[in-house]
Amino acid sequence: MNSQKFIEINRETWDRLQNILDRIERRGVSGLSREELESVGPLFRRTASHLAQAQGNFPDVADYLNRLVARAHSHLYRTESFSWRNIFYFYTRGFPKLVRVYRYYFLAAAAVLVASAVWGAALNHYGSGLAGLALPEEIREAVNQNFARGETGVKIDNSLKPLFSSAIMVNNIMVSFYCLVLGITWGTGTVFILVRNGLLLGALAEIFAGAGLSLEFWSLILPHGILELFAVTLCGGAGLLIASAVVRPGEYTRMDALRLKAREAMKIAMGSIPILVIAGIIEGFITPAGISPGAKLIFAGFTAAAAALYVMSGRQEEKKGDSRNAGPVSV
Amino acid sequence: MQDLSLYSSEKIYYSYKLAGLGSRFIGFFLDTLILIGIYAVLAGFGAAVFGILGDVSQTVTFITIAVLIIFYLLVSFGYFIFFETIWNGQTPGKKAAGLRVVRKTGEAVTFSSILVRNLMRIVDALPAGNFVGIAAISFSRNHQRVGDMVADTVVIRDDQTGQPILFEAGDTDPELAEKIRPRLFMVDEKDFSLIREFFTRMPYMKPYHAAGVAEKIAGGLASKLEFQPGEIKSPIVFLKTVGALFREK
Repeated sequence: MNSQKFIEINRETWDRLQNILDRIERRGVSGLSREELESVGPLFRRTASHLAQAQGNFPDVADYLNRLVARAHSHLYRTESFSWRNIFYFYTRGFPKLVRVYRYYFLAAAAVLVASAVWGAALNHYGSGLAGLALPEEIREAVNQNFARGETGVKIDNSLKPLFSSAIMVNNIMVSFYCLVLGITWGTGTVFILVRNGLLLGALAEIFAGAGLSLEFWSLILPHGILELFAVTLCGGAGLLIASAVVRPGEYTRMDALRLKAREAMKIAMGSIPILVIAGIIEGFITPAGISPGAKLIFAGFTAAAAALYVMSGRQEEKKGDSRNAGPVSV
Repeated sequence: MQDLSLYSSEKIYYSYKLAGLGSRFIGFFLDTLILIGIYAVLAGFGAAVFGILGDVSQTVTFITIAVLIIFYLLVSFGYFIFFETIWNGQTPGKKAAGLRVVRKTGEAVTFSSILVRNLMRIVDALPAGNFVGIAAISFSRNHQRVGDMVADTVVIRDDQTGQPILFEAGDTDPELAEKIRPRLFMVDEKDFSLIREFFTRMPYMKPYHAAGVAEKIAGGLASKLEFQPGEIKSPIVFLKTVGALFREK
């Protein structure tokens, strides 16, 4: 048989496969009729075997068949597809489980945050020359001027609230993303961002404490801050997870370790976005609301309890099954 | 162009053509243009709110800006994620540039791969002008940017499949064939692949271009086969006849 005959005999098969692929490209797999759906597997296998035959005997058709098979392969073989059910499953089960599995990374990130907050407070307290590192001079002056006028800072005009809320949300999401992806710099970028935020928090807390306004300060920070710090800790931990792949890949090559860990880290980031959105809404509307500091702290307590419950639910999940497979967004 | 060779699950050996820096830049550039268009619409929407309502209260002003900021974030990340998810690894820019994202194992991209490779755009954009991404695409083995490496994806050329070239009986000239047959030993594999390549591309060429190219190829081949200059009347029929005879051999 020559390739002319080969083409003549099998052309119909290839054309049919090609038509089906065109339809998939235009309307997705759901646009196929029942017969098409049933025939696509056999057609693909037949064409693939033609490719093998052509590679040996008819090199002039092999290129065409290769393109056809490659194109079909990238449409027909898939390991997972997007579904809302998977997303729901991820947020209710998979994510808490992930947090549980990688808890030491989050504890490490939290430790960095706390330590740098203490450091920031100390720098400020002893009036070290390095205090400017923790808190830029302009902010310090602005805060002090507010004290002089008897104000405690955050009094957002009603009309400004939505703007603040969304600006803060966007800012926090970006900071968290950076925290995460900069883990690839052997973790230095992640730690830098964590330390900077910790220093700022510590220094501010110390200034307010020095002025005898601790209650006001924490009532301004904690209602949204609990969730915000929670999310930043999660992303920081995820950044450290990525860093661990680069620093200590273990039995894998660095690239392979990075691939494995980055996927988990990204899932953690996706999980923390809604937390940041909620925190942003609270920061825009509840934090500046005209209610007593005590009430705000109680509210903060509620958010802390909710976050804790969410994380604790991961414990039961972990017992149930394989920790590697956190569900939907699984690979 | 570089190939990525794989075995399908039928244990058939096949390959993808990997996209290089140039075509990926075109795709990215087109997507960026579209994104700028969307941003312009968003800005226009904001301006319209102020323009139509005139002297609006501060509350409306800030709510509008707040909504715009959120949309900005959603669009700049969501654009790539959305299109790559619903179009199986293509965005409008990638489609126009003939590119597609697939898993390195040759399967369709998964939602999580899409998330990972697009969030990692932050790293590829470092420190400015997508420097990291460009360097990675240039030097990595499979032309992957950092996001691709982490997500285990490659960007491939997804051109038209085309048609296998058939030299049908009606296209060939039996009289001419009789003249060519004794000289067929002078035609080699290279000549044939030139003919095949020409007919593969012909449907995508403008007719007068195609005619010009056919004349050149036929002219060269005719003198190689020791035909007299005036002997070939239709270059395309000549090429088809040679192709059909060579295949039969």
